[in-house]
Amino acid sequence: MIDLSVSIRKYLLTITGFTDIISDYNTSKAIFNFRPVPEDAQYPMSVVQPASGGGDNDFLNCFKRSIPYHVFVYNKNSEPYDLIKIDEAANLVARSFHRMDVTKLEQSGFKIVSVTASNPFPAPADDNETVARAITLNFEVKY
Amino acid sequence: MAVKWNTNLVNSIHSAAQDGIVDATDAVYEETLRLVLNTPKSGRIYKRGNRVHQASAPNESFANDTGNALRNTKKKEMKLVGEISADYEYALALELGTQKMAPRPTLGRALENKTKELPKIVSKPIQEILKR
Repeated sequence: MIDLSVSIRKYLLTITGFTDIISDYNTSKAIFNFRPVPEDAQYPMSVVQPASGGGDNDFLNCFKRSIPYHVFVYNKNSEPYDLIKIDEAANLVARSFHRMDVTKLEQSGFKIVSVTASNPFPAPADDNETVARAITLNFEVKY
Repeated sequence: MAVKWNTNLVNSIHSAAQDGIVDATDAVYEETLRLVLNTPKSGRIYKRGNRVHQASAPNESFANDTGNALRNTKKKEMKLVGEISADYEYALALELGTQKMAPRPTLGRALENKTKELPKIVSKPIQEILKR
């Protein structure tokens, strides 16, 4: 299985405007590639997870796979600015990943050919006190 | 030179394509039911009165408990479009997960499992018409 969550997380940590919005956690930012997120993590936070979908295709001399991932951004829903903040963060993620220079992503044992990002869409959250946005990233990977 | 349009054949192909869409939608819907009802779950076990319910673990398809989710998962075929919808409040939370709950992808996985078969299913009735 090709796991891209670590390289996505590492790249997210380099997006300056995005990391400015996301809160700190331990010695890093509150960007997780697992759920449930830690109990003591603060909002705004982000979660990177593989999505269902994708598939295999043939290239001429190798295999190509489409691998979708979701990047979620969560925030408290206490002030109007909270929603604007995660909209901004989600848009930054989409803009940074869409047709990006893939050499900036860590890759080993596979080669990322291209990345496309969807527009942010409202994502489910645990309660009404939290708001969320999600972005679908679609990776074309040669292996 | 006059070109004669075979209206009957065109109409038959249209209706065969619609049959193909119906079959393809059925296939994805049945796969959804299979994932929920006939795949093993390994989550927590709850006891409710005399009944024991085993929940799904993260990333498994959701487990059927009260039947609400499956009752509200519906298929619909329109003109050359097949649709499977999940019309219940927590559908998106199950499919995509939340910050505190890992996803239980079901509809997406059903479509993914059937993706390779769908072109064949849709084209089969059309091929039968053309063979005649």
